[in-house]
Amino acid sequence: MHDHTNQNISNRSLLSFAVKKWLSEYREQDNSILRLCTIVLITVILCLTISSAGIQQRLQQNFDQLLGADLVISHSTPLPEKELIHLRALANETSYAQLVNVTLTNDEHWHAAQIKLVDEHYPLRGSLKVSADIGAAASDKNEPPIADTIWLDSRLYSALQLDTGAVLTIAETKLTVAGVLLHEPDRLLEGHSVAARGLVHMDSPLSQAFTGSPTTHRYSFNLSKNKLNDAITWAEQQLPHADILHSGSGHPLASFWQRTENFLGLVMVVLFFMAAITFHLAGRRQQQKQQYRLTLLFTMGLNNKQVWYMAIFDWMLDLAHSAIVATPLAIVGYILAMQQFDAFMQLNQQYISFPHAALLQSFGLVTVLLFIFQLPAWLNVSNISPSLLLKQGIHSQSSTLSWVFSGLAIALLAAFYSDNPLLTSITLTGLIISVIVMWAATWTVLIATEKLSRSGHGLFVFSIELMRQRLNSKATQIMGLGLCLTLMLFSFGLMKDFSNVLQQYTRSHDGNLLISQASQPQVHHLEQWAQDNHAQVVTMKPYHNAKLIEINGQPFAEAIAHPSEASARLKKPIRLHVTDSLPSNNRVVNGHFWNPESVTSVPANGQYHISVEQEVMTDMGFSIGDELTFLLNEELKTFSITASHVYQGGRGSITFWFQTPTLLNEHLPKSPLYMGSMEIPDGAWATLAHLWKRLPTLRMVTLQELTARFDQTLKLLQSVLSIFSGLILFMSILVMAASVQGHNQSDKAKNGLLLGFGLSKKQCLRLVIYEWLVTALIVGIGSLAGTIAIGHLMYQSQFSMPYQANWLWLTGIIALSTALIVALGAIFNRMSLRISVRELLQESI
Amino acid sequence: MNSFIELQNIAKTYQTQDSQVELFDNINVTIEQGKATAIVGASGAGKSTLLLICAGLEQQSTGNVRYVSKGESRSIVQLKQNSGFIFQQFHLLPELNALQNVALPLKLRGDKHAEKNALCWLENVGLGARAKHKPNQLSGGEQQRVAIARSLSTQPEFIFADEPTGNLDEATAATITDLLFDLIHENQTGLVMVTHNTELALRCDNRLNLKQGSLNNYPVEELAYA
Repeated sequence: MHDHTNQNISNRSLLSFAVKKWLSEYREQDNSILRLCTIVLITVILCLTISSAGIQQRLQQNFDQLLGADLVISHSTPLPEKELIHLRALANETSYAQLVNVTLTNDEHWHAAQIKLVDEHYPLRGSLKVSADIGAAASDKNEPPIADTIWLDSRLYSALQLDTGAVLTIAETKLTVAGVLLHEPDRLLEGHSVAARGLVHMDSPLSQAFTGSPTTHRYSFNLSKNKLNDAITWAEQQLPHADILHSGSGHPLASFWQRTENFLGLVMVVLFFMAAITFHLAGRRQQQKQQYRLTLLFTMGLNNKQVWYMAIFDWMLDLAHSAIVATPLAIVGYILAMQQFDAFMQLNQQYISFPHAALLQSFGLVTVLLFIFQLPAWLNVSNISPSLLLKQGIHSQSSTLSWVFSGLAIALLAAFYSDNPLLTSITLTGLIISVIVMWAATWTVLIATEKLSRSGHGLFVFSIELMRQRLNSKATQIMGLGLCLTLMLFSFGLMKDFSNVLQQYTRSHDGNLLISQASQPQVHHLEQWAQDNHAQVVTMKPYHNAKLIEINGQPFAEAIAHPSEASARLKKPIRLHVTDSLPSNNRVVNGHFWNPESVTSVPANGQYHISVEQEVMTDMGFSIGDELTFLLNEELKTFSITASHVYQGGRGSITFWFQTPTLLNEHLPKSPLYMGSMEIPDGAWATLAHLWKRLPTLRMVTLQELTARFDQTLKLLQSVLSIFSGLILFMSILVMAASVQGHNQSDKAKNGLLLGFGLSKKQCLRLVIYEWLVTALIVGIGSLAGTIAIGHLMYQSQFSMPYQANWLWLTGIIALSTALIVALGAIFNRMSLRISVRELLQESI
Repeated sequence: MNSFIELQNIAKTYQTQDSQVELFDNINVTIEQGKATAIVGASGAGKSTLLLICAGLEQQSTGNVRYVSKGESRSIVQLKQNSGFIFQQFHLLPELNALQNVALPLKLRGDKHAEKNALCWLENVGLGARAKHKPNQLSGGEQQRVAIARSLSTQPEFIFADEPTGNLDEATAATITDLLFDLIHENQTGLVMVTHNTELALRCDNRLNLKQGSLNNYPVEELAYA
């Protein structure tokens, strides 16, 4: 007889069957859990990637619009005349500006500002926007204000209570306020500084008032295209210590954003970890179902190829459905994020195209990751055979294999996003400690209780016994919930501690005024003022501005193996603290800190001692004995790392990344600057304005300003954290639902049997509560250990804050989460309580 | 004095979308401890419902279920605690091994020697050597033997069984039947059993036929030739 089976099953009818099957199983609980999990993952990845691309695009457009010249060279000292002559010869136009940070005062009002002194050629490209008064119409200007006048940022108008025409005294120079400065064409060059600005002509007498104060000298050049590259190459070779910016060098904020993006990447790694647990719990049952269905179809005449079509098409339907839901959500997220970004950066963007390429690219990435998650299921498909049905042996692949593939996907994601090895390793170490503690607690509690109660009885014993028998899936469920709780405990704890530390700790240890920069004469004035006004100088620490030029004889840029937080910061000058003894708020980790007797002269090798903060050591890959060359006051000095130190709390918060003996002062032409803090009594605040009037470049910030800035950051942090916590909470619910769903059938049978044994439904509910209570307690113990571990590891190294576990708060949160887990568990398990002995008789279980 | 369950004027009706359906009415029967009673009848006649009403696990529409233990009238809750169940599908908990399955009702009742007693029961059903085996490592017949041991482990006054041999081959069914009857006679347990199996019904002391809403005695002769 001729076999027509394969001829009858066309691919079209097969696909139609697959669609119908997919629709009919749409509302199944396992499917819903997996679908929700996939939608969350796709939404987060798409939203993050397109938002990131949107931000990069904005930064690029901002860069193109706001560079203000073809080439800009900035340095902390004026460029040597010889180099300037060369550059001017190449350029068509040149402009020179000086930037000084000051505090402006008017009567008793003050506000920090950046004064920009510009020559008559400014601006080289574009135009300034100035209005006569607040709210008046803006007009374009192609030249700076005339000498003896100043244009001020609108914020300074209101903060200093000024009107156009008023006279402002800066360092004893009187300037007439002539207009509101709305826009500078080279605004971008201020980086992400939001300091209020004042624009003054270079011919003004004010330019003489800042002699000796830290000043940025900025040279702008317009060049023909063919000379631009020559000028860049020449400048990079001849002026290695200067900041050189041109249209091809990229936005200064781009690398900052890149690091932010990497941190968000770490968040995604955590979310994927949660998803892996959900996929593990719910996906395995789906795999078994699929294998059963495909085996049945195989016995009905499908060939191997068709079975594969079915499996892949099934997966693609799920993926397409999730993508259809997730993409609009991600786009809405993108639009909101861009609105926030534009507002935060005060950007007024022209038309920016939607980042289609990034959308497709991220969709590609998420498809690959989900594909890897799916591989164990497809390994099952390759093993199908009718003998599985005969032997009633449909089993999914081992859980080890499923975990291996999940681990692979997560490792890929981590490698793709994270660039801060220390932060990544701290987070992962904390999570691993949490997992180990939970694993140990699970075994100890379940096995010990079961052994102790071998001769025991009652519902609680039965509950423990059942949990022990389900140890594998129970442990997975506990890990999932525990990691969620750890991350949430840590995030909330961190936010709370940030707030406490800045508001109380700073106040009690550092006074209420922070001096971020003062010269030696300014310190004398300050001390005198403090004496006159019953104020107290709490700390005053000397330092030199230093820029890292070489590492072990290799130029800085070439010596960096991989980008990191520290390397990004070290591109700019840092504060090098000079001290003969270890600061009381520091502790030596490696090497030997010098004592004053041993450093009376420069060592024979001409290298000064230096102690480096431990996190910088780790991030930069430094070792004891490494040589660092810094540019200090136009002189190159080489240092040898003799020690590494960390911050320890309790004795003031001012600490430095780099410290060297005071011997250095003797070999530098300039005196050090100072950083410190003061405690000012309430009545003395009004006279502070007089001090600033005399010393406008004295940089101080009050505690109120600090906390106001902190509040803004905290607000941003809170909203990011809320989204993060929301996602984590959602994933926890999915983990719980997936796990409960997995045991739903056997739980139903168990409850039916217990009813048959004469137990009431209330007693069955008590059994559920016992089970979740034990689960929640193990989760609580594990997450407590994990949170404390991450706290100890991360607070010190990442935030320079001591970690002190607040037991009352932690216990409270754990009690709350235990109640929540038990309540959610009881709700999820309610299905298994809807059972009667009749259903057991009817074989419906 | 033997215990018994007395069904007095029991009726069961249920509501469908359009009408009220009467499953059975005016059922009067007494089930005695130490005797085996078979309930036979066509599918859908209401045998399982009647079994559940006897066991106090389903509420009758009208009538009264009376449980008398050792000469004293007891509550339905006490009846539930004093009875065991055997299912066609065995319904052993897959996470627990044979010993733990049998020990389960004992532990729930607070027996401090639950596992020791459970092992005795497993030996009684010939499965002492397989105590540590999980249900999926046992054959259908072995699983039903574990289920029988579980139902008898608390030494209940009554056992309610639903097609206890329905899922077994002929030879295994015969062995299980022998075992079940030996044990209930030995322990003086009352057995109420729903079955389609003639051999099984013939072994019972009483046979009740549920037909068209009423319950009648079923003569041996009729069954033998059925």
